[in-house]
Amino acid sequence: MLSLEHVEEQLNIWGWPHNGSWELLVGNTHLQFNPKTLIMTWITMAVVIIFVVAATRGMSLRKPKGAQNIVEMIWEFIRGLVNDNMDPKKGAALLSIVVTYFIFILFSNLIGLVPTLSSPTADYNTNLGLALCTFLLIYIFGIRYKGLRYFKHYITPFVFFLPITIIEDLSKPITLTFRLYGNIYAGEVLLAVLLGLLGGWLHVFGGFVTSVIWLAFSIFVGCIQAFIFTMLSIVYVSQAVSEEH
Amino acid sequence: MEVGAGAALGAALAVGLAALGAGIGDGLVSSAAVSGIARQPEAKGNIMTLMFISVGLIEAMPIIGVVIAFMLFGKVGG
Repeated sequence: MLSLEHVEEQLNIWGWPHNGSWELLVGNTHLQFNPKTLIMTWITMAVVIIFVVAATRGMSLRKPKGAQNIVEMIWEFIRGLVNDNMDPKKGAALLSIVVTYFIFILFSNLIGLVPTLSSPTADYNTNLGLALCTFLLIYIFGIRYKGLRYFKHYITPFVFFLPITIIEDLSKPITLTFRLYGNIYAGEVLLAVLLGLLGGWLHVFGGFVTSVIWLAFSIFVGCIQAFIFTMLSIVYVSQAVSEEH
Repeated sequence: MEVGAGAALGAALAVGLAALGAGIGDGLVSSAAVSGIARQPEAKGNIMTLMFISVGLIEAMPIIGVVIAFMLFGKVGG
């Protein structure tokens, strides 16, 4: 039975620097970059752009063919979710970014299951970036549709609810980040652990069947987590713009 | 006790309790979903969507427990 470090060294075909981060000194501040996540994010961006551009090249209204149907299905599915949760006129501005969230997170979760690649969402930095975009969107939509009256919702109905509503507001990006990070990162580590499980032949027989079963489940988990991130972003923004009573 | 022993115990406890919590939570949600569909089969689409969302939300905390267990797992060597 191999230990985790041993398995990861043997799987490291592309030669990522071990426990990698590049240090950079800009002025007086220390910056750290993780080259594996950066390069995998660029690869995912290239895959998403090539897929969507190739699918909608020469689009036809009456007879859509092939991949254009997939993009239309995704668009209509997310539009149905947005219209169920908020006023369709207010939701029209939100639709583009949540479709982008869905397609990007779906592709980046699935790209980590290809044997020698890893997901950009398996790093907490990527997920924190996406969750902070949602956090900003909540405020932008709230202030745009309600003006400065939006900040009154912190103190209605009683003033002493203020700590509770502040914590609720801060917990939204934190839970979004860690939910996605935990699901995808734990899936990848478990895949490596399962490969080292049954004896020393990592390439051929060691835990191969169990890791195939876990790969199949990870496809399902990747799709569900992309859907949940999108759905929760829509629900948070719809709570910020809703006119109640 | 040594660091390695404490880390091994901590990792096992984290994963075990996380699995317990996830199992109970998902079981409650799924049983409510199944009885809702049994009462009104036309609502199947809505109920199943809600069930998937609830499972994703409930599983967030146990999965954070599993990530902590993986972090401790690396320190088992001492």
